[in-house]
Amino acid sequence: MFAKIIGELCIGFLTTLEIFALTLVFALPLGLVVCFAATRKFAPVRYLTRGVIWIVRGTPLMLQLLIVCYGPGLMGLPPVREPMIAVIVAFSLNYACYFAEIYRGGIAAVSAGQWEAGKALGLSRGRIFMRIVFPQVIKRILPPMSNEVITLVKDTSLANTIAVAEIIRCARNLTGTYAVDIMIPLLYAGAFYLVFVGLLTVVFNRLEKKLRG
Amino acid sequence: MAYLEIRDFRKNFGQCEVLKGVSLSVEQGEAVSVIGSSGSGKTTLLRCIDFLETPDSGEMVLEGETLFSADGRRARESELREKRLNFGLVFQSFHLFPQYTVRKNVTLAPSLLLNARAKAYGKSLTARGVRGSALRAAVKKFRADGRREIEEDAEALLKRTELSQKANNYPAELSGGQQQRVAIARALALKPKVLLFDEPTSALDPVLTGEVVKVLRALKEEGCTMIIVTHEMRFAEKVSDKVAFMADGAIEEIGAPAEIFGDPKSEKLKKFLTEPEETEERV
Ligand SMILES: Nc1ncnc2c1ncn2[C@@H]1O[C@H](COP(=O)(O)OP(=O)(O)O)[C@@H](O)[C@H]1O
Ligand SMILES: [Mg+2]
Repeated sequence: MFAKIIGELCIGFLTTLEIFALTLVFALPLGLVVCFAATRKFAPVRYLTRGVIWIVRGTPLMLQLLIVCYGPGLMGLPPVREPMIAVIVAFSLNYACYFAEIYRGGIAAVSAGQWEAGKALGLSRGRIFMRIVFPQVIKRILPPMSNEVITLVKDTSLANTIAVAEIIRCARNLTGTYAVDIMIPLLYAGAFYLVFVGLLTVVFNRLEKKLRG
Repeated sequence: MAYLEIRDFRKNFGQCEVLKGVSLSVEQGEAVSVIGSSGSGKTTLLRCIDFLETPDSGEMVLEGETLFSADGRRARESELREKRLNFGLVFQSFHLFPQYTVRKNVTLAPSLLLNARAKAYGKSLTARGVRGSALRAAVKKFRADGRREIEEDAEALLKRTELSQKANNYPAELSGGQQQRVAIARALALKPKVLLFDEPTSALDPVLTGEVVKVLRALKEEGCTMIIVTHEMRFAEKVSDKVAFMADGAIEEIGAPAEIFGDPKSEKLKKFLTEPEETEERV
């Protein structure tokens, strides 16, 4: 029975990993776009973006998830059929806004002299950003980023509120199937998170060392 | 007409009139030192020459070609980039790229520009009807040749600036003097027509200043055209062909080093030479 519980939890954890990975794939670049929009000289774009960031960071992710999932249906639009899509959309938007703020701080911390030096060498703004500024930004933002990424691992459990079978939901379902105490599978699920976060911590520490050296 | 002609550069920052009509002509191979107290507009002048600031009025002619003319039209960014390549600007505080080795600092910009040139070359071949594998091979060869030239140039430049031993080090591992020499090599890598130095030694202690001055002397001997903003009066006196003294946004006095230092005319220059600034500025 132990093996069966672990097996089921593994399947649930795959879904957890899927949410985690897809959110990062979309939110990391989207965050950069949001960051650029939030720092545009053109005031309407800047204020609009900052308003969105305010709303996204100022309300619970759970609420955003429910709105993305049920909002379209309630407004008479075609309802979201696949809850997983709602999860990825809500998570990507939410994390993009957090990442945007981290990027913003990182970019501001790179001295204006780096831009000037690049300009004086005849490089375009895009090139200067990609080849000169951004590599320095990555190095600076790694610690706050690793924090957000670790938070994301645990936030994935919110997906169970709209019936996505990630690991916590799996664990809860198991109580019915195998008539075990509810705490048992949940504690096992907790161990999955711990191990994964431990791995991520090691990876981030290595990265930080590598970029510093 | 002189090699580089700057006519009546004016620049305001808001209410503040920073350049009040600066004119300067520089002959090919000439080294012009610009001296003057802090806030007199020396940095702004260099930045205007290198298109990092746009003068409100005035014009600039290099080799008979008008590079800048204040006609109220805003130049396109790509146009500015092209024009900037005529000049190599070396900053007071180096601004090296910390994540790259010394060699990469020197080769980065030429490599990126090579990419752009290779693309343009490919397009020009396509326009002439070259297609398929012949096109790819030609562009590949263009890149490879360019790449090799950049690498050879970089090695030569590092040798000239006595940095060959440090080619694989990162900027943080170098002394200030070495860093400034990397910055000079980096600017030279694009083969600019005119070199602009903004107080290249004022962030350095006297010993390190010596090694940078040595490189500047060598450049002068090789015939580089240079404008050097400096507080090193000895350098200005010994190495430059002309010295310009700036005060309050204008060139107050200009002439051969012997005239400027031996026989200053204006009161401001006399005062500047007898009461050198206690602390060197860091802008
Ligand atoms: N971007 C700017 N905005 C406003 N004022 C500036 C700017 N750059 C320079 N200035 C002002 O212009 C004056 C001349 O500055 P600068 O050219 O740096 O002088 P120098 O290099 O001779 O010390 C100073 O008073 C400075 O405060
Ligand atoms: Mg200055």
